[in-house]
Amino acid sequence: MLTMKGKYGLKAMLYLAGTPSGSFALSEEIATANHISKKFLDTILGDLRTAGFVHSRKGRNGGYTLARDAAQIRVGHILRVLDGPLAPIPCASRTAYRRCNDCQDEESCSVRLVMLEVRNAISAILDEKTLSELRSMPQLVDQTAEQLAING
Amino acid sequence: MSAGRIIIVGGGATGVILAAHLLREDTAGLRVTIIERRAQIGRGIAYDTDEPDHILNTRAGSMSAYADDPEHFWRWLQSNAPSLPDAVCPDAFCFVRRGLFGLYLDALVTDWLPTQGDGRLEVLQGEVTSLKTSEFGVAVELATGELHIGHAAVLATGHPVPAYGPQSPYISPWQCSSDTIGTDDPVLILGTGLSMVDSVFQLARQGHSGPITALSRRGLLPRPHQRTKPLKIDAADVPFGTELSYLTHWFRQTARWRIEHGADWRDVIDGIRPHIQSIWQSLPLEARQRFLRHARSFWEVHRHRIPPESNARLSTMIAEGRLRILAGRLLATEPTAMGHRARIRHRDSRREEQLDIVRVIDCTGILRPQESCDDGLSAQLIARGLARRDALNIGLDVDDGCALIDPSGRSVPRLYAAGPVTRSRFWEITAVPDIRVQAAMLAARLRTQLSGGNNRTAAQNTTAG
Repeated sequence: MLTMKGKYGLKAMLYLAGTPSGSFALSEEIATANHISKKFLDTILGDLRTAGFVHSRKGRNGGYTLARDAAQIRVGHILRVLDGPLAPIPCASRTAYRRCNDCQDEESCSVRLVMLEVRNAISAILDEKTLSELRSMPQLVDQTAEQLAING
Repeated sequence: MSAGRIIIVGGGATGVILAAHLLREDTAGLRVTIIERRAQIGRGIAYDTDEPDHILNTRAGSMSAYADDPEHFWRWLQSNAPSLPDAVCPDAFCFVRRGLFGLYLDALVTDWLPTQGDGRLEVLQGEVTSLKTSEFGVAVELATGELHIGHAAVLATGHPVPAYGPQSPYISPWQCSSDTIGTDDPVLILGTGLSMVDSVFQLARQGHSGPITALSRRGLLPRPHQRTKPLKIDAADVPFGTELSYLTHWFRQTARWRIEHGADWRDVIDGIRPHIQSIWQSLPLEARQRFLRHARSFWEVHRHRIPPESNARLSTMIAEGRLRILAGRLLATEPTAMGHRARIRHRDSRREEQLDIVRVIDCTGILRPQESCDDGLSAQLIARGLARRDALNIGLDVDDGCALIDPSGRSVPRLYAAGPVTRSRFWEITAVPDIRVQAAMLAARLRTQLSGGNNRTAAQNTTAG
């Protein structure tokens, strides 16, 4: 499931995607804009930096910037780094596998098997979507609403 | 109306497997022409060997030309075992002589040859000197001046092979014979991977008993095969798009986790394999460059393994002192009365060593800067604006559907590439299990393009009428 960490991380990435290229944003600025605690955000940005999605610079004019163009960064890729393997329940994963307490046999558990299918659908959607597409989604929603209003 | 003709430049494993995929699915009378410079098809640098010691590095059960019929090669071995004594392969895990795979590739396409089959496959021996495209098709010219016309062309020219002159201290593994290397001659081999193993066994078979030193930056040897139970890994598990360091860390952690649970590291390597192309494509360019420089040899010794029997033989030769494996760097070579003197610097001690040798066998593998290789055709296509080198300079740039990309970044209509030429885009595209998947995809795309083309012509006719 999408954790707070994943959600805030995506918001921070969206914020960085909206800043002019080459400029660095302070984590305080991102935290304030998204109403997130700066301390939590710093951990998140640290993880994103280790994974190579953002660059950071110290000192005056320092801060964070996207390591690549927003069109080159996939939403699913960001979330895996923050939340681990995409999975709706902990046992529906191959590598970060955690058994449920009440589990008797994970190989024949129907709930787990259907959730494995769900996670593949989740990753198919999130890996298709780039950060820049994610940014333009609100406008698309507005357009659809306008279309409906006109047609109605 | 003719269903179309596809011209495949190169009749090695890739070219033959692609031809089979094109012809086997087709019902509309599609024709294929393979142009190969060697006398036989299916005998590219991988399978043009009669050495009994050159065995496939992949088990028979994974060498089928068809992904949807994985035991095709193994069944062929079974049914031909009576006439080919060394084709005995009681279970699909066995490793057979590489030359047999060449025979299998022959057999794969006999149904379509003019002599034994329906004649939809034409095999020509020759050197392609020029390749041109027009709005309607492609024209391929051979060194003899012969011209062949088709609807599309596919470059399946395989691995670049270094060309060394007689004065050079270097020879390629394919020049390594008793004419070039005497029985007692000391030899230096550059590289400690699969080609080195091949060369060592070939030398031994020729009766060579001189000292062999094999040198590479890290001195890592290919790990041996073992039966595996590949770990099931879904795309949702893989941290795509992350830095190389992050990815490596994740991979090592996953391998450790499996080993703790009693599995083998090979299960993880084989489990990740279906995702390699996607991982490669999600890596930023700089990360791919870093991979080639720093991580590739670690990856390859685990990924490209040798049969247990080869491993045992290699270990014996090392134990007996006939083969020495060194980690270090070749600083220089200079000519001497007997041959050459090589100056080597050891990796860990930084100590320098002088080594008198007759020849240096270049087994540094299949990734070479493209300019260093004798490949007039790609150079010409690039000059004519029909292709460009990839950013890593290890092949040609292609799109996801294998079409060549021109210098401005557009896909070139009617010109495609397949197999190792496309490794910059797909990376894991040098072994049969990957080539057959690409061949199926490209064959489907070519058929769609040809039928689409015919429909368009038909539509235009209707409009005109």
